[in-house]
Amino acid sequence: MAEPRPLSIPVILGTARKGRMSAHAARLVHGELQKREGVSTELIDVGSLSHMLDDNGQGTGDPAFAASMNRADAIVLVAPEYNHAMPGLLKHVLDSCLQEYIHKAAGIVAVSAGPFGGTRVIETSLPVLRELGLVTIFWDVNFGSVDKVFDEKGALLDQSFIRRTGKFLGELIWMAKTLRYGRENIAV
Amino acid sequence: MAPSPMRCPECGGTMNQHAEKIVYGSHGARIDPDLGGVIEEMHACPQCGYVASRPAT
Repeated sequence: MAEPRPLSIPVILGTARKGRMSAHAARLVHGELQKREGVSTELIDVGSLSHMLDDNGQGTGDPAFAASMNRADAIVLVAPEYNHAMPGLLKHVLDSCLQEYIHKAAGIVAVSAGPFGGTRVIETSLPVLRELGLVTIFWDVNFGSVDKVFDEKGALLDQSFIRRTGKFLGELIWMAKTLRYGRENIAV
Repeated sequence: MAPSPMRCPECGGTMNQHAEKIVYGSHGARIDPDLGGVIEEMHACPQCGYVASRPAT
């Protein structure tokens, strides 16, 4: 079934740390999304958003981020694993919205320097995303030992990640279409 | 009487209520005594996709 509007699927780069390898992963996923017909995407860097540090919660965030989340049919979180969890800045940004997320799809791209591919950041993020009203998919992309996946300039060294990312995006797009139909056509 | 459908703030279309979500926090008199929080209705616009919410009635 043809969609009346392109699916909006922003990619959120979830760290502002200097020298972040997650930026390479985010650019790869963003580039693969750009190749998908019927999808519009943008790369959102949490390090370039305006943040309120003396307040938090719904409605306190960057208005441009909130508008992007309102438009979104799905989101991709690119999250490095910091002490087994998502970066605090990413959580702070996510907590600035709520109604914008309800019944929308979410996929996690996890990044770690170690061999486990960010599995722990995925596990600890799932209850957070659920409480925000997002619907998580069962495909992830795990960039473990990330310094072996990309070179210093961000060139992809392991081409298997193209196929892995493709499977992830295929499921995310299916879920985004399904949830859009539900949001707009199925009443409670 | 059922509440009137929400109008899309963006395009004026009739929105679809697709969810209710409990929101915990300091909302004073609006707190549902049985549920311990405020119930927000979630609406989406089939014309433009905009999403919005309002307190449940």
